[in-house]
Amino acid sequence: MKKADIILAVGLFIIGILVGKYINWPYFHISKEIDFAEVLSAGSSFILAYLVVKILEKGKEERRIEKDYLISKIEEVNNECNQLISTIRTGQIDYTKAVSSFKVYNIKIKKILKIANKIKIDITEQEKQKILKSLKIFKDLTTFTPRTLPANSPIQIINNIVFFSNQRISEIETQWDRLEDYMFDLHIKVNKG
Amino acid sequence: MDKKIISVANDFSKTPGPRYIKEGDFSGELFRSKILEPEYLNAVKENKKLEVNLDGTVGYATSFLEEAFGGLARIYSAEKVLAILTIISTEEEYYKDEVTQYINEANEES
Repeated sequence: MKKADIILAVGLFIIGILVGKYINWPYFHISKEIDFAEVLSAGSSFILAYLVVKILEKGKEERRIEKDYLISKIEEVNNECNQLISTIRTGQIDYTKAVSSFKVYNIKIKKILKIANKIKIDITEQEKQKILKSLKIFKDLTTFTPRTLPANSPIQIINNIVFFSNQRISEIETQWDRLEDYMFDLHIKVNKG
Repeated sequence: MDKKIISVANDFSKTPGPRYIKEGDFSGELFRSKILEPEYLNAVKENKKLEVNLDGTVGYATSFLEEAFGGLARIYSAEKVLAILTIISTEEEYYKDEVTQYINEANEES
């Protein structure tokens, strides 16, 4: 029991005595005798109420820890994606680095969705698919090359380095904005869930 | 039906690359010509299934998968390839559907 709780209990007890002793309520009779069984009943009610509050508080605290963990994982993915976008903005990126980054994002996002499901945060299948499809488009814009490349192709790979046109960089940024919005929605849902 | 097994990570590379050999190392084209196609032909000859395990790499570009598996279907037809080939991908389950899609689309193109 915390110090503040003890002070509060003692305070209430004193107020009870003072009210009983000095205040006369019209139409009410305050008895000066206490039945021992009633004292026991009141005491056990108090202890029970205290335990219920403590258990509820503990459950709330545990849920907050779980939600904070998920939110930190969402922020981790966002930060990593932002770093990747910074590299893409330079107009080129190592192909293996880009491909491996997307595998990592995919695994991390799926893990977040799995844990959210486990701790009963209601994320619909449609919302999950929206995030995963958006990531897939983001990946394809960054790593997919068609079978025949036109002369002014928005994406080219030379010696394992991907080169992007300005137009493709804008497309990738737009797609990342979209995915970031979905991740933000997920963040809100986890926080409120 | 017995099966032959290819692990991309163990038999080819842990860092699969772009679509074409001219674009960089460990391309889909190289994987198809050096590993996938010879093993596919052996499996057909020996009346076996061919299981390709995609796990254990750093990830795949869509172009790599399209060139390797779609490319195989462009040579031998989607029906024949799908009858022999099984894709294993536990780390990224959606690759199984993706590869099947590339094989079917390649059939429509050719």
